[in-house]
Amino acid sequence: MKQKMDEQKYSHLFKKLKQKDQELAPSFERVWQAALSKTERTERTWSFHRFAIAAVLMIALVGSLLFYNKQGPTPLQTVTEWQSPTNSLLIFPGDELAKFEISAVTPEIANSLFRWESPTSSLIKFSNR
Amino acid sequence: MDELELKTHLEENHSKSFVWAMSCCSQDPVEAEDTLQTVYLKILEGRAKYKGKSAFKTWLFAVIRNTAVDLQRRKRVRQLGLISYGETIVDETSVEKDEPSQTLAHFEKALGELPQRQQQILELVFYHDVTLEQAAEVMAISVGSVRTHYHRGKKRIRHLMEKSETLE
Repeated sequence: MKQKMDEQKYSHLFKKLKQKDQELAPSFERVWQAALSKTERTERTWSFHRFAIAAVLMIALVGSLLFYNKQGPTPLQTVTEWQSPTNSLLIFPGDELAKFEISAVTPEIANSLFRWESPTSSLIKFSNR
Repeated sequence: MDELELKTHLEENHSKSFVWAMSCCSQDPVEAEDTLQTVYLKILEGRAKYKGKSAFKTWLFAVIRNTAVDLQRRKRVRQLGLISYGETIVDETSVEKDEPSQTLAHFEKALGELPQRQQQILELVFYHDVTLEQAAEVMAISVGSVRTHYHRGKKRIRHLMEKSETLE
């Protein structure tokens, strides 16, 4: 019973005490409008930031494209065109004969080949006598 | 909940929200207004969203409390850099106050002697008509802790008031 009375008393005292605080409360509209204006300001700042970021990215992209185009061949091209410094050693005399195509031989060439004699062939004939 | 509905709810609870903000901001009306403005801003920007899990007032009071704690923490950090050694902060709000009735004065004095958490829980229950469960939600602590603070606070306030009444 006493506890209930206490609770009612506290409730009443709290109401009296907080009445002063409640009187100090600013109007809802004032606080609401202040918050609204802050939201608009934040949105404006954000849209400016977004625009600035997009512009910087665009400039960076265009710049890198221009830089890329000014450069010579790509590293990949350089790799495919690379030749070993000792590559010439792999080429041996008469290598072109191996690549010679028989079908490309004309009768004239065949005749000249047939009639060809070595400049030293006479010496061989002499020693046989 | 659309913006208009939200605004209506906020307007209905505005004065009580301000009183609660005052309690969370050491009875500083300027700070309480700043807190409330930040709370409305949070709600407008969608940083604080009411999902209907609890009563609107419970949710709003929890947002106010969290915002006040956050603002006070930032203020303390700023003050650490600004206040030089030996300087004291004068609480201007405590200087100008009307002379209340004697019981009210005893009550105010007794309330001031309670730890802040006990003060806030008693205010939530006796002034804002919030249940202990809702108070636990607002304070972000367990119902058991709220019950303990509530009973201890009541007991202490009774003791302090009786003491000051017998002294007079």
